Amino acid sequence: MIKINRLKIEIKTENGIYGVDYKFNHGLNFLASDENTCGKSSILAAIYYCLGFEEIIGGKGDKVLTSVYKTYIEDGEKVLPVLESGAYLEVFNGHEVITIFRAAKMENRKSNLVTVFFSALDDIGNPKIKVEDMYVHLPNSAKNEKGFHNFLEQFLHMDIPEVPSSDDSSRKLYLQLIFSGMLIEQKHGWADIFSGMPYLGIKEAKKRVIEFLLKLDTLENEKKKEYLRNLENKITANWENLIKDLSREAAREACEISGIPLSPKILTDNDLSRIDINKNGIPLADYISTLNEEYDALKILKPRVVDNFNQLQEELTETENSIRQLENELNEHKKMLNSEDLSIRSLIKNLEIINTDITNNKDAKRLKDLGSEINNTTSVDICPVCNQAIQDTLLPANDLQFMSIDENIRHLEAQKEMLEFALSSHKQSKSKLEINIKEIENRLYKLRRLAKSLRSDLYSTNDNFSEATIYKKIQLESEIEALSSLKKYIDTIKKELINESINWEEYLKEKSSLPKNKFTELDNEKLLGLKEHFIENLKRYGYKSITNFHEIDISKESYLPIIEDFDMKFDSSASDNIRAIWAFTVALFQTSHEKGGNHPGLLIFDEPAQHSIVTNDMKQFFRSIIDLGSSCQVIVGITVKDSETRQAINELLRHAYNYIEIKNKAFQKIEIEE
Amino acid sequence: MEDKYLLTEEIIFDAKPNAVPYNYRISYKIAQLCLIIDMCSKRGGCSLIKLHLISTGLNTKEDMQKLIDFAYDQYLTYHVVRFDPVVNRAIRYSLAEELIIQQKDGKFRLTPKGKDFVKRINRIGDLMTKEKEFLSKLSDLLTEKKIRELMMAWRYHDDKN
Repeated sequence: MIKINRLKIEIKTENGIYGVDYKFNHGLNFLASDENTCGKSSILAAIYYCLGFEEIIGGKGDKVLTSVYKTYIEDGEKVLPVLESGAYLEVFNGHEVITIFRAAKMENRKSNLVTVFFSALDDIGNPKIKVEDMYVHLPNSAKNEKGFHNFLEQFLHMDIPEVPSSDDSSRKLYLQLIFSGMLIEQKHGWADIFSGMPYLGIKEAKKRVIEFLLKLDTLENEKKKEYLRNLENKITANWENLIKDLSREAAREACEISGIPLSPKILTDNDLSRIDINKNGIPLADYISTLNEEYDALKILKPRVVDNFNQLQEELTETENSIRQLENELNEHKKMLNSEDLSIRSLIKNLEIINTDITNNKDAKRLKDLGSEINNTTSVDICPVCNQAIQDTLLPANDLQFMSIDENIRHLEAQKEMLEFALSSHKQSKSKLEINIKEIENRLYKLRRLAKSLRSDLYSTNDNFSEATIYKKIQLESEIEALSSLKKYIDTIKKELINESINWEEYLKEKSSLPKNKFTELDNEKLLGLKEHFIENLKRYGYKSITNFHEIDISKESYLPIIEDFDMKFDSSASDNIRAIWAFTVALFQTSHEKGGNHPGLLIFDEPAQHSIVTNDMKQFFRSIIDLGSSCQVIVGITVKDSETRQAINELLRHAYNYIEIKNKAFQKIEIEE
Repeated sequence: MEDKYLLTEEIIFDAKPNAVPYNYRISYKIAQLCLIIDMCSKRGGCSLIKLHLISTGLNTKEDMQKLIDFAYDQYLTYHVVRFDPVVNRAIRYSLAEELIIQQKDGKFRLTPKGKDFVKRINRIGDLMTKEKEFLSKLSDLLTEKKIRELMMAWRYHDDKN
């Protein structure tokens, strides 16, 4: 839980220190004044500012603070320049008290520095008190050890989950987002439920915040799903890499693989035995044993030329035939490679043209928007002379239909996609051809060596040792070696595939253990509770835009109130929209409190009486806050300018609330400097 | 008559909308014209021929280089000037939008609204970068005098024919 004990604002001037020092209680606190312009919002802003939540008001750093903190302060007739200013906030988490200090204006102290004293405000002068400096609004300040929000999260015992962010990674749900549903600020806060929420790159932030506040199990599920998605990607990537390695090694030895599962699956023995490696259509093992036989046969062969003359002659013709055949093949391949190169080049050129076309078209679109900024009627496809609809083209129109710029851009982008696809497929076939060519050249080289040896054998003296035989022997030896190592390699890959298959099996098991329904029993109970509280509050506050309250529901998609599948805001009058915000904000706390959610128990309403709310409804609102009891601290900034409002407050039980009255100017002199 | 087309009922042909090159868009061309007047002419305004010349120069890189060479006196003749009816139409739209006005001497000048438009375009750094680069290179070096000389040369050529 979080409870604000005390807020002290200090503004130092040449005339001494000005500021405020207020204590807040459990339950309902009023921060009331007669006129609307005497600094309530400045005081409430200091609370946001100390907690590092100023983005809820809009803006980062001291920008959100009023001039009182930064330039000058008025005291009667006098206008005093501000020398230094800052605010202390004493916060209680149920067990410990800390005091947070953040400077608004102070030379040599950055506004994103926050000092935390581990004591109550009265004791911060004690030298034995631990003090620590921390930062807000720095990259990673939600996760960083020196990040104030990281500290605050631990201090408030809020176990904030990681949630998917818009750049497809996961990020911690920011405290600012969570608190934007609880601290309703005067300017933007009353536009819509959660309208003060800053954009911090979290996907479906409102939904995540409600899930967190109510502690819905769906959040756990989402997290688990995210984890499983990552696991799946990892296994698939590993698997594909293994297959790629295997294919590459096999291709080097001119072998074909078949029966290999391309995507992860649970491998059975049958699957494994079906993985088959062939060379020239013969299973690898058989091929190796034939090679061995050949090798043995060579050993028997008499090494001398004179003994094998006829055989040599025959072999030479055969070899020369194969060489010719391979040369033809090589030529064909090179021709194909050439044509691939040509198409790739022209495709790249076309892509460049399309890319510039797309940027130019986008420019045209932006120009059109600029044009409508300065009221060019042509920008909205209206003729400036006759005010009739025209088409956005300078070509003679006749009866032709022309695309709008958006269509044109889409059209070009579709073309671009097509070209990119063509380009990638051409590149693929090019690399395939290159591999083939290399292989053919390799074989040619070997055959030519053999032919040369054969020829020199034929012309050599009869008693010489046959060079061809020796060459063949060496060739065979190295081939046998290479193929055997390939075979070994395949076996290791198979083992790794089996490992991945085991991982895959586990992944599938976990996946099937995910709950089928999105919501658990408890979740449904919580959502039902939210709905009931919300409707009950609406009735209590005098919501009138709808007569049949049964039509109101909490959306299972967004967890926001809907009427017949439409956002409730569309059906509400302005003042009823305010009531809906009251009702929802309070209902979130009620539900979370009853069903064990994560709501930290702090609500701030700045000027809840927007849009001429009837005094009676307001009174009901205050009563309902008092009914929340002491487990929730509520601070209400309110202007009491008419007797009705005053009466509404006076009719409440006096001990049930804490009334802080701000007279005249909020910032009074509190100390005189010696 | 219609009986001649045997398959009229089975085949329906819908004309799909045609794509339009970006520089044939009204918005694009009038922005281009405003930029030309703003960046390439002095107070006296900008003549119709000059608008045509520079507008053609913006079409391709080769055209750009040719025009720059002519403006920098590296080529004395500039052979073919392309008069694009599209430019005339764009001028008419700009006049109607009150982005430019025509002076008594026939030259064009930006109105306050047109100047505002140019300012807005210049404020966006990555908008029409190619145009801005070329026009600032050309600046006001392509003078009306040079254009008059060019036109004289045509007369001379025509005379010979």
